[in-house]
Amino acid sequence: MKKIFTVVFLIIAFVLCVLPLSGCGDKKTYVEEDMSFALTNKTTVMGIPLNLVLDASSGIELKEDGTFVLNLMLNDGAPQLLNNYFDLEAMSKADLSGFINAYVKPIFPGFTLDDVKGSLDLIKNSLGTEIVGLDFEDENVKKLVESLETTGKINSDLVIPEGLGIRYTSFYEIKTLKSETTGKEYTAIFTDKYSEGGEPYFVLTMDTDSESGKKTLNMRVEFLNLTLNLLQR
Amino acid sequence: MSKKAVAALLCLIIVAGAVFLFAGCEEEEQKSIVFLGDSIAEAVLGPSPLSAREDYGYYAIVGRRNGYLYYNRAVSGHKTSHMLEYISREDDSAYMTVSRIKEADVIHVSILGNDMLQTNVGELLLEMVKEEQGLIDGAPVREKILVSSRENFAAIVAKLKEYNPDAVLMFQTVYNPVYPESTLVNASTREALALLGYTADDYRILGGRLIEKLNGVIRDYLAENPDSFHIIDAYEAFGAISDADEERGRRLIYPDWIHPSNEGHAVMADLIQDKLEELLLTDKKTALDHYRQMRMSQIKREFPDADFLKAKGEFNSATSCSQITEAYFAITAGLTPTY
Repeated sequence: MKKIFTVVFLIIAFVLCVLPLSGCGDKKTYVEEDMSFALTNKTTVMGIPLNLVLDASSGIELKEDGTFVLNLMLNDGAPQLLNNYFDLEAMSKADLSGFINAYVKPIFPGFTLDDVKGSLDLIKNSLGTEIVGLDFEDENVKKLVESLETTGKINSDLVIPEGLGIRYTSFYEIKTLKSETTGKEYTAIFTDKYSEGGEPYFVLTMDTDSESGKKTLNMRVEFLNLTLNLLQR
Repeated sequence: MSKKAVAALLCLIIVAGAVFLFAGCEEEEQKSIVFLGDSIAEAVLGPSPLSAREDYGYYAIVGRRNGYLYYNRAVSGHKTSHMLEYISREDDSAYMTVSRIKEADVIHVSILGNDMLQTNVGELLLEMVKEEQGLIDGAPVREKILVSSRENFAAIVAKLKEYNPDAVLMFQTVYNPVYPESTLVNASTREALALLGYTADDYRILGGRLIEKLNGVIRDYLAENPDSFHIIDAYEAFGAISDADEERGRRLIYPDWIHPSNEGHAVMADLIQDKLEELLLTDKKTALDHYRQMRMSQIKREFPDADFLKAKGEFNSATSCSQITEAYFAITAGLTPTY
């Protein structure tokens, strides 16, 4: 009996020693099953509702494996709207090299207008952001690429193709944050990498819509005056 | 010793070990630092590549090597008026900006630059020169800007003190980004300055005089309100580096001639580091060790063609973070990062 008691006690003690080693450090938390969110009409940039130009398919996917996807897809009317809004004649005269050298190349070292496709791949690998729906066999796209690669300017007869969008793919984790001063808790969605002690640049806040009971996501990018407001589909 | 005594001692050791390991899982209390202000602090423009923002932004360098919890709540484009409005909002999201300010041990602010930069800097320079030559009547536009800058600045200090009277507060001066080829001085301003007898070689001195009038907002406030905050003197540091080595001075500025570059951020991080160490808010040796490791792993990761052995030797012999900074940027100069 004494031997059995001793063995059992030693086993329990051993488990108590090992458990903390596996428990130390934060385990990442994701949604239990894939969630899809659509942009609401409260999504604005500089006060302008983005649903003027974005398709209803635009939104955010939170997957149970930790994948985060943001899709911003132009709606059918957007290319015409943008073509009419922008003075393409004036834009085609602008030499982009100054802007490229001052801003784009430092942000993406190796970026060059001599190789548009390669440069877009660079952006995708660097920030997880890509242009979707860009068909390099499309005649309008070919004209734009050729103009950029040979003159460093956009072509004056640019036609923005349909079905274009931007997709940002990353990873996320759910964190519960608490204010020590107010006691209020927030459910945060941390996207992309960050260092210990810090936070990622994009932090969304998840909440529950009181009327529908559906989940909401909110994020603000202050310097762009961009508000993303989404409701679970 | 009897068998019972041995068994009891063994049990005691095992239980004590388990308690120790459980305790080790709990988070130690860390100091927290909040960074506020403008694009210099936000570090969206500055780090190159942008994906290495956490390796190059001074907010992250300071946070990481000192083992702090660190929060960047700076906003590109903010003037003093914008920042005052921003920090006066109540928390409404997981960013919890006001809560982070209230809970911080250290608050660092980089603001003021946009109060002037969002007007025509070239015109302000020209106006200053004309003023010095007695060629303008009445108060210059600059003075009108500075009046509201002073009011907003005082209100920012008051608001931060109201939120967190115990935090160590730091304000960073604006460095002089003007060099002869600076795009801040446009073609028409160059022509006008030339008519008044100034060449491109004079722009840096003129820019320095103008920027110091702006930094006077910080210096004058502190002179009138001693001990209200600490100055992180980026203007002085960048100027000293440029005076000693103009090429290195240029390297501190981003290709847009406005923002700090990777090396500029590192110099500012080292200034903040010096202040933290002076105030005994961090352990110098630990921060140095961390910084050494950070830069070593960054070289391995981003610059496989760099002289790794040389880097290791210089980093190991460094006795300060600023020595590691100098060595890192000398070794990686001209190399394109892998990212």
